[in-house]
Amino acid sequence: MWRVIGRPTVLAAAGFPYNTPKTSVLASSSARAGCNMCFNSCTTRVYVEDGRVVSIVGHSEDPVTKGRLCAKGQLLVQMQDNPHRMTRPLKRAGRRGEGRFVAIGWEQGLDELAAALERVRNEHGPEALAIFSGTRSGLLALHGMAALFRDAFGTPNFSGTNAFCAMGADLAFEMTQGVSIGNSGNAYTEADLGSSDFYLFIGDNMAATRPVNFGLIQNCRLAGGARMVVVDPRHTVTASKADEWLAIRPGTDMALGLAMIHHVITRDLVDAAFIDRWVEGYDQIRRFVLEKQYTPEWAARITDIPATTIVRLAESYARAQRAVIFACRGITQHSNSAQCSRVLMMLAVITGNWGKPGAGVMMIGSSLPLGAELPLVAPRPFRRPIRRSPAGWLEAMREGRPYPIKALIMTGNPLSLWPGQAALREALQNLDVVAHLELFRNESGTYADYVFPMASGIEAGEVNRLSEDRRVVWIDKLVDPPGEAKPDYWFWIELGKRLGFGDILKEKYKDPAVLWDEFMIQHPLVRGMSVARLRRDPRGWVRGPLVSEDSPEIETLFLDGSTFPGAPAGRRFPTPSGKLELWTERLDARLRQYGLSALPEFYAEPESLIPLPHLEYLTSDSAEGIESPFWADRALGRTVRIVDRSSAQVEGYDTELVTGRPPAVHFHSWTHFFWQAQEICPDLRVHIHPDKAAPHRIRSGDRVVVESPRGTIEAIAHVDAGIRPTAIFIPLGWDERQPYHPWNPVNRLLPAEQRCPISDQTNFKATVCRIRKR
Amino acid sequence: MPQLALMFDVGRCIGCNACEVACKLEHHLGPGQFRTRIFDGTSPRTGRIEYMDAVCQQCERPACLRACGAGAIAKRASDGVVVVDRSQCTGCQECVRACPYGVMGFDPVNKWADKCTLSLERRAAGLPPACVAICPTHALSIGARDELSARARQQGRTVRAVDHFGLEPSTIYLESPLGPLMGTPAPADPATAARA
Repeated sequence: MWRVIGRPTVLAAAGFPYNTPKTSVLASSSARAGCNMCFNSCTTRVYVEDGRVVSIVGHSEDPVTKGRLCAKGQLLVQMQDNPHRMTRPLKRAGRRGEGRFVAIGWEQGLDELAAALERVRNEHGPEALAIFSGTRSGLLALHGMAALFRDAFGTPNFSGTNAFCAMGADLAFEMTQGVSIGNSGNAYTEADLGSSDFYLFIGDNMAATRPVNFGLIQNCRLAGGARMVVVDPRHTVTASKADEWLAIRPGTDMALGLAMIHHVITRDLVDAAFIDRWVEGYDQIRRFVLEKQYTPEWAARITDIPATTIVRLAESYARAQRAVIFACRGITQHSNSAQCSRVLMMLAVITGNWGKPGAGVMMIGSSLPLGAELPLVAPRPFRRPIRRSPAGWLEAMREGRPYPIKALIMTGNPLSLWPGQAALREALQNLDVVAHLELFRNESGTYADYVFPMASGIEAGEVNRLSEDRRVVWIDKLVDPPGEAKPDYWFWIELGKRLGFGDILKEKYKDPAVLWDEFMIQHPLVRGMSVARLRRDPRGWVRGPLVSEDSPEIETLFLDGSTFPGAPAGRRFPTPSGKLELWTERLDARLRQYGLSALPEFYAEPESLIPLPHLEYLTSDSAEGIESPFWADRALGRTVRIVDRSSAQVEGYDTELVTGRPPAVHFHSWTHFFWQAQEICPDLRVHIHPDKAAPHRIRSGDRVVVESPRGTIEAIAHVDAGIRPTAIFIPLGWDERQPYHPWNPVNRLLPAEQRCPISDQTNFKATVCRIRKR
Repeated sequence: MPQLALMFDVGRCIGCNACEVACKLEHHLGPGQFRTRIFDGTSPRTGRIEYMDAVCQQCERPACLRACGAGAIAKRASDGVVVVDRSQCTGCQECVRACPYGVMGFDPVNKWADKCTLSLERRAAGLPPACVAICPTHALSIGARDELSARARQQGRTVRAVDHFGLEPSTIYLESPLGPLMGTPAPADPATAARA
């Protein structure tokens, strides 16, 4: 009955140190470092011999990880000598997309790129340059030198990966608690998140996406007996460890949240004392939810979860002493990203599950304010960002509207991971110059004119990616990168120098410790997080906010009786009212600019198997639109109205398409270049229910074709009952140029225009498709 | 000396493969080589995804040992761990075929049988095996078999019966303490049925 995950794979190019003579790893010297791949932010110990990485293990003195580490952190051992790494700058020799390049030197590459950018600036203005510095590029680039270059050059069109990840959650936290730092301020410790009585996971497969954090939560749950419910269209690994799994209709979580709020209000399960003292706008929300009759019966039809189950869920959540909601990309990657996030936060707030250990809402977003605030250099009258999300840049690249983007510098793998893949490929052909900064030669690189080899983690010197619970892990440079690879921040300093920005993008910032201390921790909330303190801490991390080097760490933010760091004495929540804000006139006025309201009117995605309220966009991406009231740079956005009719696009498509992260061994694009990750999880697999598979005579292992209104891909079928019978699941991260198991990415099926008007977050989670045997 | 054993908690394992990676990293195993491997399936009892660790059972009566004509396989008196003497191994793979658990590995480059030693070198340095040390969910433990069994009994845990071949395997598998998974996928959508 047990079967192998993946299939045996013959791989020729196994990297060091496999099948090499085993010298004593234990005897060699090791240094403390961290994994820079995901948001779990695990600390590591790296063993180096003769300048080569020979082993990576967990750091046993870390009280959060307890020395545990998932496959990804260990597989970083396959970075330095990886045969697929980029080692020299390349210049395109064939057509864009063809993949023919010649090796050039850094000097030539940077000089030519700088000259091309100058031409673009002279012809079209500085706004015609767009920069995508994904989290792969590291915080020292994303919130550091790339951001500084952006301001020096004078373009507002700049994005990291967060536009595709947690932007909606971040804004919702800011609206609710006045600040977007560390989610609801809770931490992955036994005393905080481990102490909960009730774990509600909605659209969060933590066991696969943050295995070490999940280990901590699960240990506490098995010891203390906390209840655990997982809401997900799939029987995920996380669901397999729960008491209950609810296979919700994709994209309807907001209805579930509203119905739980309705039940909690009508049965008087709210925390009245907490609301009285700490909540602003409860009456407006209460009236609205009751008037709209967002009852469990109403939600049952929408969500496919029986009303009795919704009632039971609401009761057990509200009656728990401490209940936590883990809501991840299943919530944020929707066109109701910000509003649905707010609804879940409202549920937590009215039941008093905020500002105490074992409670709150955790959404992998909402980072520390590292780097400097806008503007970094003397303000100049530049135009508004075209959109917050790069998915909204496509018309500017294709049509030159609302104003042209003619140059793109990108990192990571947009040609696997952005939506609207066909339009994106067309758009890239229209640009004057495209540069790509990356570790490996991937599909995105083939569309670039210049491809630059990058170094990261212990080859560069940097910090972890932003952790969910405000931990910063300092990573010293321990080894040299392969060939001529350089850190991203080095690239931006060198490029800046060639454009006359040497006085701002200073040479001394090439030293990551100087860059961190002098540039990254300027914000008053993180001023105490110096490299000296980060290096000194035996745990391997320091938790922010930390206003000075000698201030104590705060494990749980917003505790009763506490003052938020930097706020006036006694100010628990840094909102205008000092309370948690569910509805205010100011917030309502802001949201009305988009055509929405601070009252959370339910809507879902336009593509669904039953008609559901959804957005109609009154502004296209080629029009200017409105200036966002939420961001300092006042990015342009779209206005909408909620309509209640079926979308025409649905005709002919009978299957819900859900996407998400593959098994734990993979992280987006880069693990696809590690042979051992490929041995564990090789091919792109479609998870399909036996009832869905049977009429098409699809069996596990069959090659299938999946079509959406955007495109067609193929994959291998995995027939298994652990999914809604009406849905299929396809993981992200594959691309057609990967060396071991190339597949067209699932994002070829996903739309670029279905985005949350408030946060500009793309819907990756609920569209339609059809499937057949090839 | 007491029999040393690995204990695998089915209830905790999330199939993240960290143990597999740690094992190969520690023991420098190449493509296709495994000393431990995680398999997945659905439990007929609970309907949950469950994982199993295919790893040497350190049997009391090892089939591999009996199959080896070269006398290269021995069961250590000190800890009951079954080891391969590479200098004696002819690479005939009779042991690989003999193991009914399918967990005797083979090094195709050096042409010798290769198996789990519960990280002999690490234990000599006072450290737990690589897989035990790394596991994010603490699903693996190591200790004297009798003590591990006693602890499991004391905690009310059920040990999965895996001695199907009369070899007295030492590795302990703890059944998941979780009952059947509540909540089932919604029935086929009428809207879909109408379209299809």
